[in-house]
This record gives sequence, C-alpha cells and structure tokens, in this order.
Amino acid sequence: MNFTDLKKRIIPIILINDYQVVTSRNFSDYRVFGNLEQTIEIFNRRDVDEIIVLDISSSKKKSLIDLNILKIMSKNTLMPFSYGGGIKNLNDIENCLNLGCDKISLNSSLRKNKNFLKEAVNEFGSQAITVSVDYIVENSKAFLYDHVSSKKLDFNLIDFIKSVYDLNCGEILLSSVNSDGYLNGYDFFVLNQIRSEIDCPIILSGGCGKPSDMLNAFENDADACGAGSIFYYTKYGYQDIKKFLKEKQIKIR
Amino acid sequence: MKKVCVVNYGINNISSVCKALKNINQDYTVVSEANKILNFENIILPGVGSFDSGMYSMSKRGFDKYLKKAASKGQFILGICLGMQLLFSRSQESTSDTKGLNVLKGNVSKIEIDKHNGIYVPHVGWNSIFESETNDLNLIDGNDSKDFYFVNSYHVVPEDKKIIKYYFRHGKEYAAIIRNENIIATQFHPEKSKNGLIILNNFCNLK
Repeated sequence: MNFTDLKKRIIPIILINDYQVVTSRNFSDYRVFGNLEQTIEIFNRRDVDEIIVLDISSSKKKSLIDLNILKIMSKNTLMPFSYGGGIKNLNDIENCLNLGCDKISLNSSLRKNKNFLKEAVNEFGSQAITVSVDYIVENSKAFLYDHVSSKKLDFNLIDFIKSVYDLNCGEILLSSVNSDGYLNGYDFFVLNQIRSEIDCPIILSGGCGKPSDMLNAFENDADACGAGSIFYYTKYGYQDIKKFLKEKQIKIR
Repeated sequence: MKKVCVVNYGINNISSVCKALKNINQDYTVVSEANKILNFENIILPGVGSFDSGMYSMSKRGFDKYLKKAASKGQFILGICLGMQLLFSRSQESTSDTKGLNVLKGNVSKIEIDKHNGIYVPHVGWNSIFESETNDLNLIDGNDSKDFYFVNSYHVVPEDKKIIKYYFRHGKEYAAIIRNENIIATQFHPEKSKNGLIILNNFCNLK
C-alpha cells in the first residue's frame, strides 16, 4: 500500500568557510573545493531537490550572519534552500526568510537556550525551523558534538533530540562526525535509536560515498539524505544517484 | 487598472515570489500599503510562518480589510502556502482562536501523523498532485511534472469540497489547489520550481 507520494530528498550540503566551499573529514581537515556562486550554479543546473548551506565560520567567529551568502543563494536559484550558521535571534531568522530562505537551521544557539527554539517556532512555524544535531560515537556511546570547540559535550544526546522534537522543530539534520568525509556510508547508530520516537522528518548526513549508501539510509527510514563529498569527489552524478534509487523502488522526484 | 501585485504584510517570504515573477518576465508591484491592492487585477498573497503571526501582521497593516474587499470586488487572488490558509475561517494552529480572512468558508487542520506508514509532519519536500473530479482549472500544463514543493504541517478543509481542484496524498488526501471563482490558492510553493512558474504565469494572465 502506498500511503504518500512524498518523495525522498537528496540534499547537497554546502559547507562554507570564509566564502569558500569546503569539505571536511571528522568535522575538521577542511579542504577548499570552490566558490559558493559556482557551486550553487552547478547544483542549480542539476535541478536538485533542495540545498542546505551551512556557514561554519560564523559560529566560530561569533560573528553576525553574513547576509551576502544568502543574497548569493537567493539570486542564483529558484530551488528550495535552507541556511544555518550563527543564527542567534528572531531577527536573524527573519532576515534569512526575507532573503528567500525556506528553512533555517539552528545548532549551537540551542545549547544555552532552548527557549529560542520555542520562540522561533511560534513566530515562523515549525516547518521553517530545522535543528542541526552533530554527534560523535565513542566506545559505542553517542555524544552531542560542538563543532566550535571540536569537543564532545556532556549532554545526553537522545534526551536532547527528544527535547527539540517536543518543542516542535520542523526537521532534524542528524550528522555523524565519525563518518563525515570518508565516503564509507552513513552511520545509523543514532537514527535507529530515535526514529520510532520522532515524528518529524530526519535528514541524515555524513559519510555518503555511493548511491547504495542513500538506499541504506532510506531503508532505515531517513526522509532525506544530505551529502557533500559524493558530489565533489566521486564518479556519481546527481542524476545517476536518482536513477539508481528509482530502480530500487525508492520514491524520487 | 494595473496588473499584478505581491502583498507584503511583514513576515513573509516575498523575495522568492518576486524572483519567480522576474523569471517569467512578469511586471509586478510589491504593495506594502493595504489600500493600494484595490488598484490591481491579480493579487498574489504569499506567506510563511504561523497562522497567528501571519494574521497578526496582516491585520496590523490593515490588509485583512482590503483583501476581503478585493475578494468581493472580484479581483483575482492567489494565496500561497500560509497565504492559502489565511483565506479560510480559522486554524487549528492558532493558540488564541485567531480569525482568518474568512474569504473562503472552512478550517485549517493539522496533517495526521502515521508513523507506522512513514507519514511524518511537517510535510516537507516534493509531492505529486492529482486532479479532483471537479477540476476545471487551466493553470497546469498537462504534460509537465506534477511534483511540487511543499513545506506545511497544516492543510485547508473547505466547507464546499467542490472548490478543491487538486489533491496531494500524505497518509490521507488533502487539498493542494483550490479555486472558488476569483480566489485561487496552492498549498505548495509554485515559485520554487519550473513547473510551478507555469501556474504563476497562468494566474497573472487571468482576466
């Protein structure tokens, strides 16, 4: 029985560090790939489902969000996109949405103040607010990871995810630090623990290197696959991946 | 009378709609003063955000009154996403029983979650739409892709089911496009895809 025609999404994630598009391994080891405008143009031509842009320098420098990044995004494409990086207050979110962002992604700002999530959802609706959760697994235990200090945090990861879900976030972007950048497939350690309790869409990210990795993710009930390096460093094009997944009976646009 | 305007009532994402109109070479005016919308034949009402904050921003600027007036005068109105929901009487999303524009009779309800069948909410991404039996719209090109971009947790439930022209399926069937005479609305974002631009273009050419 077919209950929905909603398609599984394949979402290129563009990491930006000082205006350069970078890739990372284990959330470090940054390697410059290109510039933002060109990269967006490439994905635009491939007619991708959606794009996520994450400015990793913004939280690190505690700077304001760089609205130029959003202007570049918005100028060059019709496709849906979301932005994350350094969003600290409702005004930041409003600026992003006014510049054409469909969704924004919150990460570090929620660790000190979860009430911010509540306010954001009240003001802009759940559907506009993604919570980005980075985690690292050590000795078969998963920890929330802080990309600013590059340290694991002493939070109960599962409780944290449930708490942001209870505050009605729209989606969860779940990123594994361990698998990031190695093209060896997604990590399912946390997804499998939380999936049955989280009723909002989950975007899985970190480690995708081939189309069958995405098939795996969708079979584990991820709603969307985020990926970066597969598009930059492998032989698989966006359409190749879609074709493969369609052949495997996954609903793809 | 001038042709096309985009309603700017504060918290909404009008830039995507404007960009889409530029893309189809459609002249338009962004209107921030409510009474000005009476000068336009085709009014586009975009919207992202919650029902309460959308209605609040709209009323604060007096757009509620003038949109009702425009609707009764027969001006064409295209509501998009929250803009569609605000046209109705009330919404389950409201925490204070805020009244909608009530240009169309009916309520806005939450999409039902059915996790055993992979039905999660919000309903985010590309979904297909299907014609209802009452469809008489010429907004969509028959040969084109029927996948459109949705980002919603709520859906409209018109009292008069005949105004539903297209459905989407997410667990159950919900209204994707409605039309009641001069009032048209889409739950998805036509401004976000090439096939959606055709809908915008056809709306702008309605006379």
